[in-house]
Amino acid sequence: MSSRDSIRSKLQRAIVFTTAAVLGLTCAVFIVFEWRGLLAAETRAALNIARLAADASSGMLAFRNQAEATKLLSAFQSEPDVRTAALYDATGKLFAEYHVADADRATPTVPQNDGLRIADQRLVLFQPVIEDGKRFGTLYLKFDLRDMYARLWRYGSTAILIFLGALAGAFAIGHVLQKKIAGPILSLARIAQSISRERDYGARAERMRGGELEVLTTAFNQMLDTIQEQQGRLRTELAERERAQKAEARERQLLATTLASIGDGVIVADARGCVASLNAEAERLTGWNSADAAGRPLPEIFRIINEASRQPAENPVEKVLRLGAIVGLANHTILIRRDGSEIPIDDSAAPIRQAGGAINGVVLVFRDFTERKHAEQVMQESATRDRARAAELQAIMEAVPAAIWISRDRDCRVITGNRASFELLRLSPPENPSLSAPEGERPANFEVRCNGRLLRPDELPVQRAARGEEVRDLEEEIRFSDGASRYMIGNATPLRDEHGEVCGAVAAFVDITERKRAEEDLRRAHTLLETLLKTAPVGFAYLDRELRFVTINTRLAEMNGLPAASHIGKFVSEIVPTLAPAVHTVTTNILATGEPVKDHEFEGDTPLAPGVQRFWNESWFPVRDDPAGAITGFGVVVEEITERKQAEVALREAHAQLASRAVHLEKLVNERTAKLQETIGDLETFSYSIVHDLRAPLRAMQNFARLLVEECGPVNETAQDYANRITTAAERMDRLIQEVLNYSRVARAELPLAPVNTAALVRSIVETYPALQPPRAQVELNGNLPPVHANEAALTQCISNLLGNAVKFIAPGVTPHVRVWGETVGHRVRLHFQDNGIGIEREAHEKIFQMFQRLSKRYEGTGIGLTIVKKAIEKMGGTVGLESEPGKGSTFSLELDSVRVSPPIAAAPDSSNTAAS
Amino acid sequence: MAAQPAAREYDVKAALLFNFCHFVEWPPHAFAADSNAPFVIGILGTDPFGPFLAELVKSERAHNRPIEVRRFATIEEAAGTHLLFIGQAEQARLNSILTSLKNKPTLTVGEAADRSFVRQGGMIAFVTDRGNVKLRINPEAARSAGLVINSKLLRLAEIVSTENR
Repeated sequence: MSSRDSIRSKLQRAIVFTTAAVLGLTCAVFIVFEWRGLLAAETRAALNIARLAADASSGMLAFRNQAEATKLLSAFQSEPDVRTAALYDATGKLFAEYHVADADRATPTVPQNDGLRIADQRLVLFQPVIEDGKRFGTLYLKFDLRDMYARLWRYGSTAILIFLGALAGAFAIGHVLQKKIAGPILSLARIAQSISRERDYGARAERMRGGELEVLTTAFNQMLDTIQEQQGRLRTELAERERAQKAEARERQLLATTLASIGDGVIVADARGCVASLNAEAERLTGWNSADAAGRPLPEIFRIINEASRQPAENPVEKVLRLGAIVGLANHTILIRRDGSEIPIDDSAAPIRQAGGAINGVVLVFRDFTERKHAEQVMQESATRDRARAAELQAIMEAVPAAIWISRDRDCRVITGNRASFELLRLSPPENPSLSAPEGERPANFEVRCNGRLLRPDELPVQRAARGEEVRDLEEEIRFSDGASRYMIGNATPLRDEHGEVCGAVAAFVDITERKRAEEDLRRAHTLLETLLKTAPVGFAYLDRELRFVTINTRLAEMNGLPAASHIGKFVSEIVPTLAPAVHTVTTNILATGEPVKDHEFEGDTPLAPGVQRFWNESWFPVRDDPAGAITGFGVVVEEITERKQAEVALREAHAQLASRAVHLEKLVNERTAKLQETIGDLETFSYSIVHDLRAPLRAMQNFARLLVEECGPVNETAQDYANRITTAAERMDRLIQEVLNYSRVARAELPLAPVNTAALVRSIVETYPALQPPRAQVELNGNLPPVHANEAALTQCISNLLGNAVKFIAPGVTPHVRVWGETVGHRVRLHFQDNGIGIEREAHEKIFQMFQRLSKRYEGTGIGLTIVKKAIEKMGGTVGLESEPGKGSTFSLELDSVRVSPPIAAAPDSSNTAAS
Repeated sequence: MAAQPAAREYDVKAALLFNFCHFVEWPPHAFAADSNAPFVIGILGTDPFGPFLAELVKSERAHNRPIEVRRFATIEEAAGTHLLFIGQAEQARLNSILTSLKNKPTLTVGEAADRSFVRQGGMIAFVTDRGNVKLRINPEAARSAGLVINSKLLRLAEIVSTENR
């Protein structure tokens, strides 16, 4: 044992130690290189950063800009390794510094020697700041190397893990490899040991392949061969000798026994015809005993006469001695016994020859013919009975719906069977269905399996029974070469001869293929049902009549918050007490009506969340697992609808709220509308009062001023002037009122739209107003103005206002020049009015469209014209645009729908009337 | 800094004045062929620096030349100066001074609380702001004189351009 340990562990140790040495060295080298590399990279990066920062800081040091210097240093925030940075001026005074928030703030008060030092996981660096060859100061940087060492430690630990892993691998591989070398040697040693201990020369070393091991095992085995062969020869010789002696003794014994127990009488006579011996039957038949008869001539003992003639028959011994051949006795011979009684016999005699061929005796065999005669008669009767029985048996065999096979030899080399058996195996009668039949005779169209396993011929039922086994209820599958299968079940029993020795076998099998298929279908359906129940997204349970859980699926168990197994055998009232009364009501109902209860809503809580109200939609149905159709239990399908219920409630509340709000809103709208209508009415009244009430006093003022001048005799100049001013003011007031009225009309009136010929419209406006004509002004139409879809009266008003403004707001001494042009943009038309007026500041672009906004007091105006333009254009679905700068003139643009379907534009209408309004 | 006496302020300005030599490139023709010819720092009018400036530059070199500090009463004397400090007293004549230096490679340095010095074409002005000396630079003026001001200096100063007249 110790030798085995030593060779194994030696090999193992050699492999592991070698691996450990190589790996250890590799890991150490790897870590040292990694450390050196990381440090070099860190140093390089530090130097680069320092150089860049020093270069950037020279100006700040030279011109003593501490703020910029501090800003520069705080840029190191993006370099997390830099813990501290500082700048010293040329005199060595600290100029600016930066610390990482959590750093220790120990900045050296004066710079140390230039260069880079590494100590205590820190890299410290003093970099001169030089510009144009002059030194302006020193940059100090402190880097934290902890990250680098942490990384190195990670590398190191990874390397150690790999090292340990590789060692384990080497151990495992070594374990396998050492077996290849140590194994054979050890097994050789074991065999040698066992041979010396047990003297079993039959043992052999396992053959090895290759090398010295093969030579060793081969030589060892050859040696053993030689020893075994010699031993074997010796043993055979001994055994043969022993066997020969035994056979001789047995033969002698057998002869004696045979003679003694044989049913015929046997008399042995010598060459002279004298009796040598009688067997027991011969003594009984002749009435002589062996001792009395010995030496007497045969005719004295064996007196025979012809049954018919009553004459002595010829002595058979003499006849054999004379003829030298076997003779049979003449029939109907009578033996006269010693007591004189007679019995019919038949007999025969045969010579006993020596090795040389000479006759040295005669054996006479005879038997009592009385019994035999009787027996022959009996036999004849029994043969007839047997034939009848055989025919019956044959009929039964053909009639039974089972396949029957019969073998009449123990090896089952030939098997016969009934028609059903041949049909089953798809064979026809002359063929031999035995799979144990000799090659060529054996059927090849099927094989036999049991539980899927192919059966060897000796495992088949007939073969097993023919070996003496009772085979019961064996299920087997006959699988044909075309893939079809039949399933059988049956028995096989040994056939025994009259001595009780097995001499064959009978097997009977019925076809259960259909039953098998039905079972398989049932099993599949069951599996399917089970899977469905387990995975269905609804809960399911089966309860007995007392409402105890019999089956429950996972989903329902989850809903209840208990494992499925904990439900089985428990009452509903134990698992979900709050649901029990409702369940009781439902099930009572089912028991009463026999009808299922569908979509019944339950509410309550579960052990999963006691006190939390939940809702379920459940369908209960009766289960009638009883031949009589009585209800034996209940099935229930459960769907949780808590969320749906909650959503419904929320929805109902939201609906109610919405309805109440709608009512409120409607009320509000009605109120507001009423108020608005009231306001509109007021406004209308107001407008009329302006027209009718305000204008009348104005007329009076105008008229009286005129009358004052005309009729109060010559007035002085001052009075004349005052009167003129009254007239002018009154006119302005009148115009103002007129404009307000225009506006309110535009704002209130419906503006029916129709195609308008803009070019004709502009021309007619220009013709109407002398202020728009040379020499007072110049209005120029560029190109063709596209027609627009608009209200002609309103558009006339707008264009009049724009053209009026264009020639009004003009620098003194400048002749107004207005350019009008149009363009089509998609289905819209833009009309542009560009003047050379005083222009409008950008801030006022919005304001000028508001009512009463007058930009310049220098120019006369009501401040309503543009408001009307905007209002009117917007009412016609258009927009108004403006581009203007003080001193550079203004361009107003109107954008309106183009005339989409182009009906022929009617000739320019006479729009002078509307333009005047 | 605000509490420092006025003399200290001019010590600082002297140091800055000297440092300009290192942050400005003069065109080659600004220097005499003789490589020992000095780099001249001129002071026009009253010298506010006293001996401190001369002391400061004594052993220094600029553009590989020894540095010499000279004082001038009039601008005509100051021809060939590389760096000219124009004292506050010369403010009244500033226009004619700058005109006569036009396109000459002389770095003009002045001082003014407002932007006037650099607006009129002076190149660098000291501005004393709450005791701190800050800089205003007119890079345009320097460029037209053929001088190149280092961007590191420009970055620290307020950039002002010549006033359009």
